[in-house]
Amino acid sequence: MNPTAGGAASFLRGSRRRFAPVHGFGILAVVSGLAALGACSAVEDVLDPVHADAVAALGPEVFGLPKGPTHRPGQPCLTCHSGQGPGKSEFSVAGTVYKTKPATEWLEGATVSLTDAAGTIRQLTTNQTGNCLIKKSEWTPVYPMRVKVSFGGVSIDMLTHVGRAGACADCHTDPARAASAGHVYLVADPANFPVGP
Amino acid sequence: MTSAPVHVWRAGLRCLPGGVRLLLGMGALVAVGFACAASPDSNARVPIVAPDLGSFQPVSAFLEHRCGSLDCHGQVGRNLRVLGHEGLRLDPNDVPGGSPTTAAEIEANYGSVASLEPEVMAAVVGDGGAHPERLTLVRKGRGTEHHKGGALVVVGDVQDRCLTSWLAGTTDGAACAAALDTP
Repeated sequence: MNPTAGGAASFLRGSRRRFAPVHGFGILAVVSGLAALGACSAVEDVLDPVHADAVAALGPEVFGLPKGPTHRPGQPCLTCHSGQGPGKSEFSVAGTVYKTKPATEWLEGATVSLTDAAGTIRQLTTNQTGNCLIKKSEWTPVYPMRVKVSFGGVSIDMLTHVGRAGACADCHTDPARAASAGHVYLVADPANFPVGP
Repeated sequence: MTSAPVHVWRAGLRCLPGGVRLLLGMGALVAVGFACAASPDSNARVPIVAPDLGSFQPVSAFLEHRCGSLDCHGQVGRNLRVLGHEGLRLDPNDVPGGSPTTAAEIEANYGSVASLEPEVMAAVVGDGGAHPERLTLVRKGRGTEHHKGGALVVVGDVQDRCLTSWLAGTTDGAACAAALDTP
């Protein structure tokens, strides 16, 4: 190697040609890594804008309710928990039960009985925000599925079967209207709500 | 051997960049298309040949019960939209599970079924209900065509007889009533 300035410049020019492919590959690797780490959600949003919009429409977390089984009561759980994200757990059936109609108070401790077309029965218990869920890894119903809610000796059967939607709030949104049955409740008249467990 | 003017014309085209030649070609096609297209007759109507509306009520009740839940065909965006007491309501003041199915909802269901595949429906009705599987409605219910709701009808069961008997012009009311017992 010629130690003169001209020789050094020549070496540098040569080195760019020699190492360009390696240099380019390195940049590609870094960019790919960044994409994998930080841009996945953006890419997924682009690939499925319908799902992205559905998630965005749910809005922010409800103040005071931490992320977890008690969060977002009344919202369609499987929008985020169907395997497409952003929820980490994947549910097969999930929803919220309220005490009465109109639905303002969550019902804790209710038993939600799910009977699928194969005759399999699963029973869930609602938590302090009325939420209940079952993970897909535990059970996936054969549709159509029947549902019954029980509490304090009072039971109510769902009028129709569930055709294929595992999230109660896919259909049960408040207020009730032509396209919605309203939130899931135990009794229509608050006067009929059972006292005690 | 080509004539001199054509030879010159071809040579001239070849002088143009490829992109320009492509645009010229596309423009020519569009111009021809506009020239050939005729405006449709806005007064034209396609007659729908379908079984009798008067005998559709038991079939509507079966479709409402079996197919019309809010998460399935009880949705406004469905090609086959089913309305009624157990699902989507026609009147914005009605709610699912509220008032009984109205006559208007039954008529809307009839329109939904009859106009889904009008040409095929006319053929099936014209053949006295023979080969009802020509209708997508029948194939999807039977599961012989991909259906998100699965195969809910077995050929020959009460549900199948309810629908196919109506297509044949003689609705089996007993089958339709028994079909309501299917969860």
